[in-house]
Amino acid sequence: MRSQRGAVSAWLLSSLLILATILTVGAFFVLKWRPEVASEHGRGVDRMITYIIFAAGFIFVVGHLVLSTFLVKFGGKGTAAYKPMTHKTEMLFTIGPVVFMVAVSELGVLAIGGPVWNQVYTHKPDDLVVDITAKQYEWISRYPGKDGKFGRKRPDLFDDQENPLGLDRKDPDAKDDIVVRGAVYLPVGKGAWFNIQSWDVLHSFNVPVLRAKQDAVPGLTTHTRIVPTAVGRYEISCAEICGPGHYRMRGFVNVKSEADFAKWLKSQVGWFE
Amino acid sequence: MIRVSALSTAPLLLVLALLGSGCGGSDGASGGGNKPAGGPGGDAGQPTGPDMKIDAGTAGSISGAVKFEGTPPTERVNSAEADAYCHGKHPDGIKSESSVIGAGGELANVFVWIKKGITGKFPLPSEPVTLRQTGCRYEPHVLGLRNGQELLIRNEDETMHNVHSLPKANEEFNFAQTKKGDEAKKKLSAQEVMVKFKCDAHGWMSAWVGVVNHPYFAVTGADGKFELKNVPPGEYEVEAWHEKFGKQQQALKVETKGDAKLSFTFKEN
Repeated sequence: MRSQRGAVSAWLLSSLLILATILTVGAFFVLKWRPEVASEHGRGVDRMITYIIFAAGFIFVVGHLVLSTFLVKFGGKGTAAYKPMTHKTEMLFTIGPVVFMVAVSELGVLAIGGPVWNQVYTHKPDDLVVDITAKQYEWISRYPGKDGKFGRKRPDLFDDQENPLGLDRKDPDAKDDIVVRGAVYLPVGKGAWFNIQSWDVLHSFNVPVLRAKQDAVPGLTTHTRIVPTAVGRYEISCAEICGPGHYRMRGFVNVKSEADFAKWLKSQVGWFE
Repeated sequence: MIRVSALSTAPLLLVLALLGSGCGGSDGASGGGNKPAGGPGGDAGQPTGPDMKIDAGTAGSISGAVKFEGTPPTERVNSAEADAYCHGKHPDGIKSESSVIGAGGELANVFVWIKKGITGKFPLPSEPVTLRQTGCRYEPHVLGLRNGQELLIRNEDETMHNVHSLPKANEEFNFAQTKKGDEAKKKLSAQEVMVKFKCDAHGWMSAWVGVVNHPYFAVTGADGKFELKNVPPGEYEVEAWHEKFGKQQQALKVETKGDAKLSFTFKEN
């Protein structure tokens, strides 16, 4: 027998679940929760996120509806009886959802994400090459200068104020290297290939508007490619807890028109010039 | 009574807990190692004994100039874009102060002090020496103070600075000054030439502090000149230190009421 109190509880809890579902789905469509996108591959990243959210969201909504229905139908009716499943049913209910989830999420992500991966990790010959060095708590970018070659970096030459990249002044390639603290400059519409390194601990080069996020790992050079599509100033915020100053490890990517970028590049002086 | 409270508030509490965990956190930049005084590179402790009395009737002085010969190094410009306040103050970047050289080769920011020849205890000035953080740089860039004298460190910027000393003989300190007007008083209690100061929030910032047992030290200005006054007659070794070009020593004699002239020349290294 169902008690009146049990029935009211079941109804209330069920309504709460429905309300939570409506609010979540509503907020998804009403709120602007995604920053603008200003890179070529960024739309692909967004498509992937949208797909995952719809796939997971569908299961979320169905799950909540089923749960609320069961609550109203069976809530407060006392202890349920245990019915053992047959082997066949158990296999069906175990393997079925696994195959379904893999098909929905992984295949979907691969189909949409594969081309994006290709865009992010293919170095094209006419890309602008930018070196990014992360250190507690700063982003430093480097451009190869007129010779188009990056000079040697030596950790023993590091000096925070005088030589934050430890450039070797004896290396002729290093002479005209351009070093910029806290900022990256890029021309709009042109591919930029990044070599990312870290001086100390794990950091992550994260530019939300450009949908770029790549770990900076000590001892490794990681890469990412960005083709900015809109002129603007976009924040770099470290996305890997790297120490007590992590919150202020920021910088800016300045995307400029091709002419403005050329003007900026021309105004820069090499570190040892 | 309806029994819903425990069940229905549980998800709410969970949500609140998740929201709460995203906020807060503590501002680091504290701590710093403790180093006992008297390590390499400095003399531990204060001089002892009765206060020295300098006879004004016989005291002389040491004066001169410091020059740089050769091609001056490039003035590096650091972009301050990561900090909106500093970027606003210096939209075209902040010039490095590691080699400030005049048109005639006058070398500024050289710390000149009597390294050998002075012993005894000199009364400490009651006024502190001030190190300011203004416009996202340390002001002055090079300064001297007495062993045991107070160093007043002040933030005059509307941004957070982090004062981090890197001594060899003194105790290291490393603390944040989060807002304009923040002040801290510190004492360095071992002779040490020089102690580097940096700012952990702004990589380009540096200052150099010379801690000396006696009052005979000076920092060259834009004209490259220095003067040490009220020096008792005697034989001394004077050292000139520059952050980029190194150190030089010269021996000299101060006659009674005489002005001993001294010039140092630094070259490209």
